[in-house]
Amino acid sequence: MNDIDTLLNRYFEGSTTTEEERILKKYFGSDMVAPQHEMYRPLFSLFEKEKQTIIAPFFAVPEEAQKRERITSHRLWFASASVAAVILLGIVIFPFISESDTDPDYLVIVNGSRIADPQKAKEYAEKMFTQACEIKKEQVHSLQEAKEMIEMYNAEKIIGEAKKGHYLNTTLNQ
Amino acid sequence: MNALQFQQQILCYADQVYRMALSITKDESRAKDLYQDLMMRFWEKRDQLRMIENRRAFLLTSMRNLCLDKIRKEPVTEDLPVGVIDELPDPYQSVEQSDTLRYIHRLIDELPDTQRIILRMKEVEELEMEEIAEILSMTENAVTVNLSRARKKMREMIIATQLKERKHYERY
Repeated sequence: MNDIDTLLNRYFEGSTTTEEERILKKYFGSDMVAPQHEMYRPLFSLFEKEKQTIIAPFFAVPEEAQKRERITSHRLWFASASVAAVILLGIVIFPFISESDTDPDYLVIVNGSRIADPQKAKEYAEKMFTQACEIKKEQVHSLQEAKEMIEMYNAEKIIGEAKKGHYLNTTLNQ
Repeated sequence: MNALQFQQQILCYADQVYRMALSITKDESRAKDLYQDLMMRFWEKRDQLRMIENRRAFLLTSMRNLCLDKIRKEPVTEDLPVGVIDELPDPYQSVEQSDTLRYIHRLIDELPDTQRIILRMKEVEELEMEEIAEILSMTENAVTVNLSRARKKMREMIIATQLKERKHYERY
């Protein structure tokens, strides 16, 4: 018992080691506490009780945010600019290819749609460039917005007459 | 850092972080808000957390700083503390352990902020003095002095309560 008294004195002086504090906690957690030490029991019980009962509230990890970040505004900008560049390249190069061909028709393929009208293809490319610039300025983050944009600038909608899987052939000079 | 890694590497310290907020603010509602706020901030900057070596110390330090910052900006208008010793539980009711624990809890809450926080970090979280010093940006010696004062004060208050209880018994 003297040991406990000594330990208690050292504990309240703040000079106990971690191991000695474990001994005290074990002692006060047992049924062998001497009557003269009973008054300290609630102190040690409280620390243990706080540890067991005070728990953090639930934090919901925002899963959606993790998915959204995959399409960043930079990536979207590069994607849009790339599409626009490919279209422009098609507009510029295809006529030369066509001239050497036996078929004189003008044809650009956008998202699987074949656009035969060079003016409309150019308009579409310009829209894509404009949109890319806007994305860069506005820092669009949302995947949903990206989907809406893709829908809005769907080649088939803009050109109207273009249909997936069908050739729309018009001569260059028309 | 994905959601699973965040749960495994950050939220594993959630209870300790929340208890730190509660120890500083002494207000459950405020502590919950600050805890959610901190976790959201960490989630947003989760990739930077990879580089942190001692995440527990970093989390606890961040929680402490956020609490202190919030308290500085929006000080809590507390009622004047009532003398705890004068409000000790009725000796006939004090056999109820929960009452006694609540009473000790109030004694701890009456300690000066630094002493109270260090006492809980040591006794509840069982942190080493070195880590407490790191989290609170103090020297180990300063932590030891504050812990010693806190414990002595607790002993004084417990003994004073004991004496007062005896007087009650003697009167009846």
